[in-house]
Amino acid sequence: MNRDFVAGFLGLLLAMAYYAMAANIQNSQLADDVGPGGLPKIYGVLLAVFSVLLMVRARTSPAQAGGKMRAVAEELFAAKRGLGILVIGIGYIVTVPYLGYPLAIALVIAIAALYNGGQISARLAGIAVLGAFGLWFVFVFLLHIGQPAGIWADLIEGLRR
Amino acid sequence: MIDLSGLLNALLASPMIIPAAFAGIAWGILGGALPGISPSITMALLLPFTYGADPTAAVVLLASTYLGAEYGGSIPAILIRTPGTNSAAATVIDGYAMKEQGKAGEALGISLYSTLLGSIFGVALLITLTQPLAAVALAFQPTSYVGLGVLGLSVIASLAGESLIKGMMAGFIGLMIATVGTDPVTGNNRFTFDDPELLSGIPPILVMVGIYAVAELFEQASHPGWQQTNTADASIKMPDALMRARLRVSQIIGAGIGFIEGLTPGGGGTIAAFLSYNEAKRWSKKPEEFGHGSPEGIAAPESANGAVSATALIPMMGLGIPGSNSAAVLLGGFLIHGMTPGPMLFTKHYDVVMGLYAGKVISLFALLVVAYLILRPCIWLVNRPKHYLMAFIFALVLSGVYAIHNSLFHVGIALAFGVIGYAMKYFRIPTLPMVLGVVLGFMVESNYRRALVLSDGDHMTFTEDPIAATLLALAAAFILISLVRHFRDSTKAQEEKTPA
Repeated sequence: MNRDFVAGFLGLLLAMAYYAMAANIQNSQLADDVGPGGLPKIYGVLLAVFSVLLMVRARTSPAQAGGKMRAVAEELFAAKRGLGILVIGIGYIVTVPYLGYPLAIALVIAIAALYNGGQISARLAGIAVLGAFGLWFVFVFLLHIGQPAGIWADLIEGLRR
Repeated sequence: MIDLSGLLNALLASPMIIPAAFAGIAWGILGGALPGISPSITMALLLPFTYGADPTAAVVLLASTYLGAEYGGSIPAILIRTPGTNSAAATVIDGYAMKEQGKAGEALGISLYSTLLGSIFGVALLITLTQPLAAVALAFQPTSYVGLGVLGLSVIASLAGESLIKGMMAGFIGLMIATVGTDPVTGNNRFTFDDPELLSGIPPILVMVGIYAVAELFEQASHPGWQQTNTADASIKMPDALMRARLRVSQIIGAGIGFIEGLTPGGGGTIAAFLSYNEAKRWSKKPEEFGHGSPEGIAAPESANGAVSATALIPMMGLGIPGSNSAAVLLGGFLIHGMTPGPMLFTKHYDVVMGLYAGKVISLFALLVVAYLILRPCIWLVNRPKHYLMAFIFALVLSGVYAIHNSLFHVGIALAFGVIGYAMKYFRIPTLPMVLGVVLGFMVESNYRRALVLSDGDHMTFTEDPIAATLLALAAAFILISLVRHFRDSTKAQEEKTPA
């Protein structure tokens, strides 16, 4: 199996799913001749056509097919490095409403640096704290852009009561 | 004709242009100097910050960043043999050789001087050529916009690189993304999954930040750190009169090729840099020095890069068609402020256009000043451990995307597009056609359907409008030429592989 074949297959799946959704778009009484689903259906069909063409080309002229896929385990290992950053990002989205911006962004800096090859040290902690303070200073203090405050204000208020 | 009073008025009306030009150049040099951080990524990182800014200052900031990054890419190319940007790859050859001969300062000076000359040439052409291109604005009807959009999309054929099929796939995926949200004619919801945050569609800025910045961070996570430089005391030494005379021909070649490549969709700095390097070698009196520390080997690609950073804006501003990633991000900067680049830009936002021109002129002075001041911080930055830099950039992306609409959902969308961009890189699918589809999709669909409503569904309306007919014919010619070129190259490659 080569990369282009897999890319074509994924494109075909996307085209089919998209077409199915486009076909289900409800027409309103205000609709023109083309309708809200008209062009999306055409896009879906054309993506499917080009995806199939890519799959056929990958089968018929492997020389142009963008190289072989490695074993699944190897592919996952190669992608893992990059996707680890994604996990850190998702972790940020999930935790920032509770932890608040300064703490959550400091953790992002520290964890992403560790993940990219850094080591646990006082320097790492210092850079995370300074980096978070710098970003907070620019966004919240200078530009007056609100960032999630977290549960701290409510927590302190609750403790006072 | 250059409207000097217009430039001056723009400057007086929006004095923030001056600090924006200086800040853009400084940010661009720093970003361009970091290997792996291309001009488009450097610009994409800035996009969220421009949201609340004065529109003129915002586009000047982005355009100046583009120029700064083109120069900044040559710093690590010369000092650590690692081009900061793709377009600085040609500078590595002779730049690093000069550094090895103890002439790092001279090499940096030649790079700065050549980028500056190329940019002056490019800015002059930008100011004189863009407006005539957009002069037909008042005659544009919905049918004409469809023609323009289709012409823009036909550019996909030439941007597809090694595979036309993959380029078309990317373009259609971009068009699909553009259909998310409220239907432009009926108001029906499409592909929103009943989520109110998707009703207004997916903002192109999120696609650009995801595809360019986030995907690159994913990519960088699997690469080792770059080399460090011991040239902490390097200082820029501008070429003397004798050297300036020697560089002249190579700079003219570089600026000329940069101009053409800037106008050509999909051309861009990298192709311009290598083409001008080869041509400068061909026309040089000392071609044997190329590859061994020839000053002309730096001058030609750097003047090409400087010219491209200005002339790439001509089709983007005049027609609304970005021919390169950096031009696409700048277009995103216009869109954020509710301005659509293209013919109407000059009638609706003439002040912003004049402000951008004034900002481009100021950025030339800014480059000269900031390049001297920022060299040491740049070397310091390049010598920082990569894991800290990447972690900080990631934190900046997360904070910046949230700042656009105070939405964590949008942060998630940008991350999702990071994954898509990362996958596209893996499958070697070009990303620019997708961005083009996202940017042009709404314009094509809304005007196509409006034109059909006005003509009672008669498709001949597109041939009755001379502008639309001309643009559609051009688009057809564009696709045909690209197809012929593509099949000719494929056949040639096949023949070369077949044993005689």
